[in-house]
Amino acid sequence: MTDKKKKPKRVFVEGPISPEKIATSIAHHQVKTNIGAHDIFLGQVRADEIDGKTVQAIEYSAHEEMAENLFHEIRESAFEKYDLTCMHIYHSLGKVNTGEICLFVFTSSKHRQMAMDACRYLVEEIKAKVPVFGKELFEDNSHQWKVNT
Amino acid sequence: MKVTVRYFGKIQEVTDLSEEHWDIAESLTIDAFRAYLIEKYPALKNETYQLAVNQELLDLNKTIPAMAEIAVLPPFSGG
Repeated sequence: MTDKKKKPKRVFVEGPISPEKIATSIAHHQVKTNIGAHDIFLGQVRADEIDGKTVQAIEYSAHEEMAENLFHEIRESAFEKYDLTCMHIYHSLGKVNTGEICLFVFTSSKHRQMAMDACRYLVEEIKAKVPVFGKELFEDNSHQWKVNT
Repeated sequence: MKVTVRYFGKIQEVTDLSEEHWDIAESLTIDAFRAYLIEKYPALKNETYQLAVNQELLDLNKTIPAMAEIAVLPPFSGG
């Protein structure tokens, strides 16, 4: 049985995604010896300076049910388009400080081309289609709402 | 007929609540609903948002079914 037949897992996690979680996830794939290439995208919260104030953290919220359904659709479409062995997506909800990871996309395939193309496709789809909202928090307790470009 | 209207992200700051129930006319289009929404919250005129009906972004000329969930979604900023 391949990963394709597994039930969809929840994408959202509360707070930042730890480097340990990413390392553990890589380690779990060492038994899958049909894999020849992984690609990983990590989104990290950037300390943007806006009008003299510096972003300290992003607080993520979402239309969670709609977002989870869209994550599932995007996953399915990626499995159709690319020959993947497996795929994992994690996205933060709640507060993530600058320098911490808020998105983890992990694709695995026999060869690099599929893993890399699928990873890029997933990140672009997630940013464009999933109703997640980032509130950039500044040091003086003010905020602004982030918009993906 | 009853519908649930949900507000997200920046839009919640305009409406000052996350969810409310509305009683709307049958076969109301999404566009007509939007006009009511702006009537109730005039500040929405200055905001960018999309309306998802039962989690789908539909054409504005589509009608809203009974018991629908209408989500008012500001621009996405995931990732």
